[in-house]
Amino acid sequence: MLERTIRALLHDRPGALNRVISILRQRNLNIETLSVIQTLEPGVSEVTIVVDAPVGLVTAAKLRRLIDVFDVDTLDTLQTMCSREPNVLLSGLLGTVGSFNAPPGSTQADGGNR
Amino acid sequence: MLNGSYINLNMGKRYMHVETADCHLSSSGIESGSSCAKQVELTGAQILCETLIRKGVTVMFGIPGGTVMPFYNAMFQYRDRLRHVLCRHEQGAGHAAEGYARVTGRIGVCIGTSGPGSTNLVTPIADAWMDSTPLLAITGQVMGPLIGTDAFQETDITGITLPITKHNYLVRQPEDIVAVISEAIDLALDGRTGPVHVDITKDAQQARCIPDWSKLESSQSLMARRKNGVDIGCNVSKLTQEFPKQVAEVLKLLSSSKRPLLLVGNGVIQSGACKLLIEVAEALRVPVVTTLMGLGAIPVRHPLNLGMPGMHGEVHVNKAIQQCDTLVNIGSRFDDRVTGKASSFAPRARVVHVDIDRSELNKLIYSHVAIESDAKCFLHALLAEISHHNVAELETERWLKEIDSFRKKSSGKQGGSRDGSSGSMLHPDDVYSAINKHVMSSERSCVVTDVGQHQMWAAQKLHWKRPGTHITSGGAGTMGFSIPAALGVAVANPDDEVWVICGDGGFQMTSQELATIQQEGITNVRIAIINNGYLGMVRQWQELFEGKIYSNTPLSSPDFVMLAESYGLTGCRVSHRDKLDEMFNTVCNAHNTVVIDFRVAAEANVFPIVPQGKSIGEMMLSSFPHQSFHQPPHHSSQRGN
Repeated sequence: MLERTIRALLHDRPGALNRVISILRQRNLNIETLSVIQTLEPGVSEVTIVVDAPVGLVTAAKLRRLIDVFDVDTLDTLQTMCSREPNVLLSGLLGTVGSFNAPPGSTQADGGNR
Repeated sequence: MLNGSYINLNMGKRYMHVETADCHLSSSGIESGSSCAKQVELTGAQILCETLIRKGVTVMFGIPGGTVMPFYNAMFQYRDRLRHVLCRHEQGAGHAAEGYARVTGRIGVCIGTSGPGSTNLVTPIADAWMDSTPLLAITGQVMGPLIGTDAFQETDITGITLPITKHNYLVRQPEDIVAVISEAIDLALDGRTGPVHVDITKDAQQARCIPDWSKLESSQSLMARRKNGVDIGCNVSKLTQEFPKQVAEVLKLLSSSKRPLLLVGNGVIQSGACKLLIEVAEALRVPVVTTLMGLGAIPVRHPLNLGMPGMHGEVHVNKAIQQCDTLVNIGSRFDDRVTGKASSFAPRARVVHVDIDRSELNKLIYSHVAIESDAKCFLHALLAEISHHNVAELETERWLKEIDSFRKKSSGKQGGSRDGSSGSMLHPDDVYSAINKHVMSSERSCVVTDVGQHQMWAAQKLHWKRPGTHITSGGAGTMGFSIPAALGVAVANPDDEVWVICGDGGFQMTSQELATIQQEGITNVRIAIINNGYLGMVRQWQELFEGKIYSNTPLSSPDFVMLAESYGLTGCRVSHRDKLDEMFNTVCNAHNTVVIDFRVAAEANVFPIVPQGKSIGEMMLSSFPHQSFHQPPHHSSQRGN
């Protein structure tokens, strides 16, 4: 129920992230952290977003409906600790992230959308 | 045409190019023979036309302008295979494409130029989004290098249409056109149908390349996703693994139910499952209610059809929903105009929701069984399950009698009948009775309604018999929808009689399309204006809920008869009841599009009405406060929301 983290695989092309964020905006979800990283699969990027309220099945389904979204997972805080943080750390180390302002591993990073 | 050998090379590439394209054209879209090289270089605009033709598009609606001029130039060469209907406003073009799509089930295509041309398309795109109409909107965009520089007629239109389309594309080079257009069309028609927008820069339309026609087929994984439903002609994404189990569960729920009810919507009509629906309803003897968008799925006169629920639904229908113990919703999305206050909707029912779009499931009403499936797939599977288990008719005799008693009890009170009219003065009821008598009896008629009081009266009073004969703007509630949509319907079905029912307010929003109707030589449209001199639905709300302060609802109009005549159409006016039959007899045999100005009682209201935010158990039956239908609050709500 407390799933506030979204992990999605996106088409790696202009505007894809905008479509994801637009759904969150419509549902009045504010972004706390945001990270985007290219995956080993060419043309696929992975985005990890922590929002300020539970994501819900409908939001997840609306995200899945997007053409640029290949897959969506929602995670709760514990799962996030285990799976998101290494991800964020990795993305920080590789330096391939475009939108990550805060030091790697910080959960208080501002996504820049406020 | 094949005078390519006479080309003076000094004439420039453009002319030479036209010749090669003609050569291509003469071969009816198939790779041409010996006289033309196989690898023909075409402009982006020609590739666009060719792709549309190869994807089965035959008609488009639009208006040219600066950034779509190359497209229109190419269109001229393809004019014998690609008909373009020149509208008067892009909104009209969009709604016409919607009307075309709704009656044919094919993609509707509309075109606008950049800037205002594209923003004018926003309303029809939003309308198609809300009503799941397959629409392809093509807009021109300023030259690639100028994007983002606030160029003349530049608008970030893909940014604007992003939340109201299934997907949108900005095309900057001709090489992408084949793949994008074919993907866009497949996508619009895939699963839950809807609008897709393609924005193409002017330089992409002008530049040349050798088109790669193999990309017509390779439109990614879209087609593969459908494979499960193909054998019974369903348009469906992959069915879930639990699907067979869920269908069995639904049948079990229905069999154990004493008061079952089917709620059906647009999904049943769009998937072509109306026959299956009637078979299922008859096999189990379960009553059916149809939403506004589902009207026509089952004939009004069918003994198991109860009517329309919701804000302006009939009393016995709403009461049946509030009393039922199993509610199976197939292909409708629990719109707030259907549910009223969601937390008190169908409080006694176990809800089954079948929707092609997973994001609709459990969105507003909690469902005990939520099935992601096309309506046709589900009904097909349910029918198979019924015959497999030899399930007999359910014992619904008592339940049907109960509903009938609701109907009888409310029929005297309902409607506040003939309010605001006297003597031989025309009342809206008279017009609808006459339409039932003269129009709905015909096998070749289709009714397009606008938005407002007349729309609700039409939904309540007309005898819908077949799917696809009721076209209206449901989810978006777009006033001005009807005239252009009827234009699209008339283009698709030139032999049908296409009736428009609209108000004097909605008429004046898109009446410019009368010129399009005239220019296209369309003679089979009949426009009935229910003219009460008000923005009637708003006036009704002001009367009932805003202390009768008629703020900005009285409306003056031009002389509609003279207006019609100035467009080269026929106009007539009816103000008395006794003139109705005579007028309908003349109009039904007319050889020209007719505009009829029905001067009806100004202050007639639509009843019943459920005040906004109230439960559908709390209906107002007339303007008098004591005549309302209030259901005692139920004590054991099985569900919260």
